[in-house]
Amino acid sequence: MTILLSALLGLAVLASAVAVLAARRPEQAGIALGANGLLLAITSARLGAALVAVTWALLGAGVICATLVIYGQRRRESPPATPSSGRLVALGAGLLSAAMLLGGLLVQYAPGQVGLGVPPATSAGFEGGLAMLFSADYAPGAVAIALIVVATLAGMGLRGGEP
Amino acid sequence: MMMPFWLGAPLSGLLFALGLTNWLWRPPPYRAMGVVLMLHGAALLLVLAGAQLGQINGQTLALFALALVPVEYVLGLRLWQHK
Repeated sequence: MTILLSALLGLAVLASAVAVLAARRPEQAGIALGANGLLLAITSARLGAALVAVTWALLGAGVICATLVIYGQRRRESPPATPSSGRLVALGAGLLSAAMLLGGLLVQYAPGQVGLGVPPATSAGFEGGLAMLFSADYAPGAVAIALIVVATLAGMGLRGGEP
Repeated sequence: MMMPFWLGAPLSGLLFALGLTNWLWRPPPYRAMGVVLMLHGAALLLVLAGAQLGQINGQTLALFALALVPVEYVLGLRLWQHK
């Protein structure tokens, strides 16, 4: 029963992501994206990650609100021109990266760090392999940060134009 | 843990792949949404791995990833709107 519910939840998450891909108007895609965030909040809550679940729920609701606000304004008025959008995005990404590095230095936390040099207890099989991967300092953190950097670089490549 | 790792890991990979597809082959306003989907996939994988191993590190990194989402989304949509 639990597996079935998890599978149904996963299917709903996947369906909302496909709805983002298939939407013909940005408003529809934004609302589907917000629904995706809300469903992922439920998933996180089922995984026991309460703080992440709350964050995801706030983000999902915020994405829906931001979509409605931005596209509501767009219907009412013609947009003014703005200079150097790519530079602004690059500046924002740079500031965020600096803030992440500074935060990591302040709390003395390195991505992938399990403890203060204490290796975790390993076990055999799949879980043992995963534990070894996660215990190797910086290895999973490097993968996660690589994914974040890919997404950030993709965001920096945003260009204007008609849909 | 209510969702098994073998079910959640492919789901996060699919989310990332759908986001990448959205970013590669859709017009500009949808690209910001593709970036958000990619971040969702990465964050879900971090939460899953953390839950699998019973560690808090995954959740911490997921919060870092989720901190990027509103910035990417609102900035992306706003910049496209002002073009």
